Amino acid sequence: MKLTVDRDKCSGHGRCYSLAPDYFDCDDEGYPVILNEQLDSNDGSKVTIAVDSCPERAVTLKEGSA
Amino acid sequence: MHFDYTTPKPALSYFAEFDRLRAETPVAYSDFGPGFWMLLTADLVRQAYQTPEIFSSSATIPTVPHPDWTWIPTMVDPPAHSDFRRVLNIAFSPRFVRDLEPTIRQDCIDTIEAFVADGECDFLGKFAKVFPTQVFLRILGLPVDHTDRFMSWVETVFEGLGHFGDFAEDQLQAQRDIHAYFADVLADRRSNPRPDEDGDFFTILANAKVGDRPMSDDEFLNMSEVLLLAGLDTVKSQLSYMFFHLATNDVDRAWIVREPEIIPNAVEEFLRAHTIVMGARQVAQDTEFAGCPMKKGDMVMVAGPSGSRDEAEYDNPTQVQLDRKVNRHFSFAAGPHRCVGAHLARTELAIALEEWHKRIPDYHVTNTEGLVESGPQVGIEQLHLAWDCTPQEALR
Ligand code: HEM
Ligand code: SF4
Repeated sequence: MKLTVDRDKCSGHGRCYSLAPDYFDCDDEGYPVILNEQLDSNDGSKVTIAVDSCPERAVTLKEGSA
Repeated sequence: MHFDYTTPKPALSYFAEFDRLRAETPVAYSDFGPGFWMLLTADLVRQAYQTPEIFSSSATIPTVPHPDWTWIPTMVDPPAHSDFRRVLNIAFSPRFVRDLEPTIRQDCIDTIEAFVADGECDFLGKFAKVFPTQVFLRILGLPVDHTDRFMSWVETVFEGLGHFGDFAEDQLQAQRDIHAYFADVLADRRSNPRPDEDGDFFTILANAKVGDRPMSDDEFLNMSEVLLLAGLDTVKSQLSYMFFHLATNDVDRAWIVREPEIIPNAVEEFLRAHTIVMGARQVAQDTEFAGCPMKKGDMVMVAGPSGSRDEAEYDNPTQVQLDRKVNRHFSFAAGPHRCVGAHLARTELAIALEEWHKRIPDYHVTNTEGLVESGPQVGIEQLHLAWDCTPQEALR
């Protein structure tokens, strides 16, 4: 599965990197940096919770690697 | 429909009122004041915040379509907005806040220790106003012994907003005093910039660029005042709901004491259940939105307190569930104007819960008067708490 952040929508709430620090870090302004964009489909609920907790709905987790 | 959000009502009434409205309709029109649309669902709130081309920040108070002020960056639309915003993003970034956490914690401890032995306190006057003010002064590198001065300015300005006569006159005077204060700060930072210029907020702000020109003095003063008005009263109001809930809910209070690890999650849940800002935008071009004909210049209340409790996004949304997993509330708005102070506010709220409950695990509300709220930024007006402070040794 592949993790992406839509930069146009992301406004830096920081829910993603607080909830799933193994997958997201933050830059100097507080925008997310994806650490780990490829993950196993069964790779835990933390990422899912982070995806679902983005107020902007800017984070997506899609099947496949492209 | 007549939604008068300025009348004081018993604590939590406005949240219940939004719940009722949302059950009837996703969009309402209120004829209160000059009139405004109300967006009540999470989807519509999110869309409005994310579409500044249509929903402009040229006016941000639902009943004030023609403000005679321009707050920066609050009322600046993209793309100009990001020039002002970048300086603030860096100053209030998660990293910066994390580095300051030990000092913030110490301020919190000192504030509580000052009254813990009394067995009671005026929660707002002794804690919820004092703590955020101290933190604010520290973060910005101003003398912490100016706390009382700042507290009284903020109070006077908020009392005056929307009133006439003496209150309004006092408000203008307070705003003049605030300007004079920050003008001195500006002059000082210009004539002797701090050596660690990456660390001193006002040195950074005084030297900031807007596009390719330097920031003007007026812009500097405007932004300083906005920070002051945005960063103190909000945290106070959020604390009032958190502690009101915990003081009146034995199970949740015991949970926080027993399992302090839950606090960061609990903070998000408190922010969601009691989102305090009824934000607003102004329609920038005629548009049909959610089936409603909106005209250029119309005001639109972007009802965060309703959107954060939308049944379409949450199970049991009107219940406080400290361990709620998925949470994408609008406490800090959304879109380009998302609260700059969100990272700081979260840290302050979590530290307040942690340090308070280490010292005062059990407490209750003692006042019946003043447990009221009114908008557009709700907060409980008075909250008095009491606890048993018999020293532990005496109990043995
Ligand atoms: C629990 C506490 C807080 C809440 C609920 C809150 C809420 C909000 C909301 C809803 C907005 C968006 C306003 C709009 O878009 O019209 C906002 C913006 C803002 N907040 Fe906060 N805030 C809090 C704490 C703070 C703190 C501690 C600071 C900084 C010291 C701060 C500084 C700002 C600034 C500068 C803006 C303007 C951002 C912009 O327009 O780009 N806030 N806040
Ligand atoms: S939670 Fe969403 S808006 Fe916030 S930083 Fe992450 S991606 Fe951006």
